[in-house]
Parts: sequence; C-alpha cells; structure tokens
Amino acid sequence: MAGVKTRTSDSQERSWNLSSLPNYVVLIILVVFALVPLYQLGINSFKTRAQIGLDPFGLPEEWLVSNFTEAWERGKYATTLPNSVILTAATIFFVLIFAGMAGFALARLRLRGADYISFYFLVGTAVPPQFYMVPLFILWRTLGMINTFHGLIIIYVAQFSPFSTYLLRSYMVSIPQEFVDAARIDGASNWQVFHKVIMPLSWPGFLTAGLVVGLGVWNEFLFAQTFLPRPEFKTIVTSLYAFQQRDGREWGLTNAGSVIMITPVIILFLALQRRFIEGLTQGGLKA
Amino acid sequence: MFRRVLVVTLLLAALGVGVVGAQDGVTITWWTQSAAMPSNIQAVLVDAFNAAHPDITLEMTPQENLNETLRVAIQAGEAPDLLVTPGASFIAEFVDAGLVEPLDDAAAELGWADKILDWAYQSGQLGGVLYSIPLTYESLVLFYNKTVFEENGWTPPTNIDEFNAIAAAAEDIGIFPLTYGNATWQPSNEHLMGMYLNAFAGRENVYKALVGEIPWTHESIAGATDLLRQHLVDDVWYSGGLENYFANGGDDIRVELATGDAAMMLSGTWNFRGIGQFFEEAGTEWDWVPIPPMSDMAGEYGYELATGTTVSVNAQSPNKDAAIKALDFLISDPALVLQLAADVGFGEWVVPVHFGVDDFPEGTDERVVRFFSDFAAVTGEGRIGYTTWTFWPNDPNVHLWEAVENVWWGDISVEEYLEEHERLWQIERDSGNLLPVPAPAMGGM
Repeated sequence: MAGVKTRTSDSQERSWNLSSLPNYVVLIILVVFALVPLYQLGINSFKTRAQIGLDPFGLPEEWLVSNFTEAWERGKYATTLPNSVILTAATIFFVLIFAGMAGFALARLRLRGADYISFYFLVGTAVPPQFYMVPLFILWRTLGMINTFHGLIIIYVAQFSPFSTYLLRSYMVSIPQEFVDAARIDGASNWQVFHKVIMPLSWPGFLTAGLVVGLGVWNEFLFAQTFLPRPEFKTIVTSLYAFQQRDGREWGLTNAGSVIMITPVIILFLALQRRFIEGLTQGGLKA
Repeated sequence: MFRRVLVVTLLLAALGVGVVGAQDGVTITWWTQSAAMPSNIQAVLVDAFNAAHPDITLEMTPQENLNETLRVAIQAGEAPDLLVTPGASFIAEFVDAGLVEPLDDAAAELGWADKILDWAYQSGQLGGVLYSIPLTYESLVLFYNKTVFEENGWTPPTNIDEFNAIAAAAEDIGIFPLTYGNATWQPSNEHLMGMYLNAFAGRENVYKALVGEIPWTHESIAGATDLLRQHLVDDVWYSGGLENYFANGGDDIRVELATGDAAMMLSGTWNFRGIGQFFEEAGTEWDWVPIPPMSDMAGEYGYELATGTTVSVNAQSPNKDAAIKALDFLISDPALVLQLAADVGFGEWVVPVHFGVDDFPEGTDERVVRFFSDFAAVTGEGRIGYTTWTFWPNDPNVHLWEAVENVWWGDISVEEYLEEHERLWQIERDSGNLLPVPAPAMGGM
C-alpha cells in the first residue's frame, strides 16, 4: 500500500513537473531576453570601441577598468549625477504631495466635475512637449528661471503630476470605505482622513508613483537640455553625449557611462522591488 | 518622518535656486556641439583669448543637441553671441530672419580673405555678403586595407580601369571590393552620390549643373548616377549588396575594411579620427589615395570641397565687436587651429586657414599631413569637386540622398530621379537661394 502511495505521489510530482515545463521554458527565455543586453552592456563597458566592433559578444581581451574613470571624467558625472539627484528627489517629493492630494480628492471627495478634471489631466499628458516648449521658454526667461533647478522642477512637477494622480487615485479607490467611515465617526477632517488613513494605506502606491516619476526625470533629456543650457546644471543623461563623435560613438565609454548611470536606479529598484510591483499591480487591478 | 523628508527636499530644491549672474566686463557666449568639441579648447582657445583680451571674457559652452537648443534660444531671444550651424546651407534661413550679422566690414578691416582659404571664404557668402566662417573642412578619399593590397600585390587604383581590376580581383579572392552603409546615418548616401558625380561626370559638368548651365538630367550626371547604381545593385560591390548596405553602420564598415572582409572604402576624411584603432585591433594597416577618376570626362583627380559646421555673429548680440575679435583670434593662428584639430583627430575644427607642413603638431600621422598638403596643392590648381552638403540648397540636397534609394530599389528610373532633382533646383534658382560655387580649373578634362 505504501508502495502504491509512493508511486502515486511520484506520478503526481512528475505530472506537476511536466506540466510546469512550458512555464519554465518561457521564463528562461524571458530571463535570457532580459539578461543578455545587461551582459553585453557589462562586458562591453570594459572594451575599446574597436574591440566591440570586432567582437561584440566575446569577453574582453583586456579588461579596461580605465573606461569607467575616463567616462566619469569626460561625462562630467561629478557634476551631472548630483544635479540629476536634486532634480529627481525634488520632483518626486512635490509630485507625490500634489498628486496624492489630487488623487484623494478625485477618489474620495465626490467632487463636482471630477470626471472633467480627470479628462483634463488625460489631455494634458497627451500634448507633445514641443507644442508648448517655445512659449514656456520665453515665459521662464521672463521670470528668470532659465538655468535654475527650481524652474525645471516646476515643469517636471506639472508634467508628471497627471499620471501620478491617475495612479494614486486608482490605488486609493481600492482602499475599503470602512477605514474612511471609521475615521469620520471619530471626527476626522478631510485632511486627517488623507494624512492619517489614506496615505499610510496607500504607501505602496506612492512608492510606485515615486519610482515611475523618478525614472522619468532621471532619463529626461529635452527639457533638461533646453532649460539648463549651462554646463554646471547639466543632467546625467547629457553625459552620454560626451562620447558621441562625428564618425560614430565611443561605445566602450558609452557602455561604461551607461553602467554608471543605471547603477543607482538598479540599486533603488532592487531594494524596493517588492513594494514597487505590489503597488503597480494593486493599483491597476482594483481601478 | 514626513517633516524630515520635507526639510531635506526643500534643501535640495533650494540648491537649485540661483540664477547665474552677469560677470564684470564684456562676456561673449559661444555654444558648440559637444560631440565635436576638442578637449583642449579651454586652454588652447578660450584661456588664450581671454588672456589676450582682458576686457572680454569668452565662454565656450558645449551643447549636446545644439540645433534644437539654438532654435529655441533664438526664438526666445536667448541665443549666444556666436551662432554655430551644421553647415553653410543652414545659414540662409538665419539670414532671411535677420539673425546673422554681415561680416564684410570686419573681414575687410582684419584681412580675413587672406587668412581663410579662398573657396572656404566664398562658401560663407550669400548674395555676395559674408555671413559665416567655416569651423572645419574635409574631403572624400579612397581608404584601403594596405595589408590586403600588399598580400595580393595590388597597387591603389588611379583610374577606372585599375579600380575595376581591383574590384574583380577582390571578388576572386572572396572579399567585398568596397564597404559602406547607411544604417546609422541615412544621408551617407550623399557621400557616394557626390563622389560618383565628381569622379564620373567631372568637376566641370558638376559646376555647370550647379550654376544652371546644364540641367541635372545631363547625360554625364545620369551616367554617374547609373554607375553608382550598377556598382551597388548589379555588381553588389558594396558589402555584398543593397541589403547589407542598409544594415551596415559606421563601425561595421570600419570592421569590414580593417579585417580584410572588404578591400576599399570611399568615404570622408573625418575617418582619420577613428579608423586607426580598428586596424590596430585587427593587426592590419590602412592608407588612403585620392578617388580615381571614373571616366574620361573627369580629367585628373581632384578633391571635393566640403565645409562642416560654420560660425556666425548673432545680429542681436550687444557684443558684436567682441565676438568678431574672438573669430579673428581663431583664424589668425594656424598653429592654434591645428592644435585643436589634432585633439579631435583632424575630424573636426580643421578651420580652413593657410597652414603648412611645419605647422602640424609633432607626432601627427604622416597620412594626415600628406592629405592636407596634397589637398592644398591640388585644390590650389583648381582641381576641385563639390560635396552635396556644402553646395546643394537644402531641398535638392535632401532629395539627392533620400530619393536615390528609389533608384536603387528599382522603383524609379535614373531619368525620373534626375527630372525631379532638376525641378527642385529650378525652384531654388527662381527663389535666388543658391549658395556660392567656386569655379574649377576649366578645359583640363
């Protein structure tokens, strides 16, 4: 009897394994698909441009660590990295404040015309930046905000708030009404409901919005280049242009510069990935 | 927690507050494309100029996306004192908008016509008025894998028969006669079109077409266009065929040449900057020769004239005189120019001033010095050719490199292509938007 049980158990296990095989195949393909570019980025960051051209997938004959120091100097990362950190941190902070409150209002306060406001936000995100670039530049120049971080932060906050509002609204809608009702019974005002109840429960949503906004600002080029033309205000994206030449690109330095650029983002993502994915899926599913 | 985050972020944001204040004295601003900027420009040009002019401060600012940034700045009245454009053909729209200061008076006073190569000086004129100075010049040559040539006992071609013979020999040993591609820069088509026009139709016919004495449908132009199509499509000489041509990027073609997968490459002297490292890595050697004449119409070999980026003085600048002094400082010192050019491998900042062999910095590659010496001698005799990006107005220029692909794919005939090209040229002639064209030495073909 015991032998029969064992066979049944083994059979079930084999059956489970076989049925899972396609999943593993797909997952392995996806992992390879995701990792090969990173592998190539990594190994090519230690090669010369000519070595990359002659053997783009092979290991370096000589590991050129000097690519990283040269990329750091030529790309002026000592200037551009802190600049991007300032812009990113400040933009995330203000976007989360404004989008959090706006999302709360749209999700919970039953505002008159809330749908129209949402539609307005949606239309706002669809307008191409080139459409308003010149008048905005003239206005910013008049206000003395060219070549200032706060000038660009205001633009970024305006650009990224509509999306974040949508995301946070979706998340807040999914929070059970009973929490809010309980707070109301205890005499909480709208601000207290937002600050003491909704915000703590929406923390994964805020985190998700913050990461999406952060990545957007970190990688933004057009406005950073136009509104911060002076060298001391350049952002990290512009560093990669230091390796462009008339006859092509210094790919070894470009890869090394890219590694420098994405490392902080990868570290941040890995540290917060569980909350990040949780926020993204929860907000999307319950919207 | 919330308060701590608020305080930290406000501090970070506050760091950004601080509009750059004006400096004492006259400050002139010069934006330049960051990819083309020599790393020694601050010491060699900016600091030297500022030391020589205590009342003026020159600020050189690299821009990653200069065209777009400049356009926005111009519209907002924030443009720098010195305006850099990608080429002479871009100046016309700035001139039409009244944005560029005429430089004739300054040029006469400071003797610029004697300091700048004559054809390059002329290329900065529109309607007989000088508006810009070329910041660099270049030409097109035949690069070849010297190691492959030596191993097979070949000598670089000097005429079309030798060119054809080497192409056949290359095919016999299983390598591509030529390599090229446009995957990373579609206008690369115009490099080949320009070379075939000059090398087959000849400088005299191209000149006549440029000034309207013969139409672009002329048999010499049609012959040049068809010869390129034949080499590219029928003979599959370029990297094995049209599909590979469209798939090849800049580094791919250098790899093909350096590894000996291809024997030759028709391309620009901007390759001086980076081609060496590919050959060094592959353990082979490179060299160059002038493009061989491809027909009896072409006469002796010559060099195509090409200016790259240009610099002009902003007509709205309050510091025009200081800006002109900066330009004069640059073009008055050939050794200074060559120091800048050497830093970027003579691929940029070869300002077209008169320099001799002795002006080149020590250690300059002999092949580079040989080119500039021969270029000066040959073009001085009037054996000049015309690059499409320097002497074609914008619309015909775009048509030239864009629509020629339809010829290659067999969608239109050479005649249909040239009829449309002629029509676009006629529009430019009617509107008076033609660029100055120096005449070649005539009758030698």
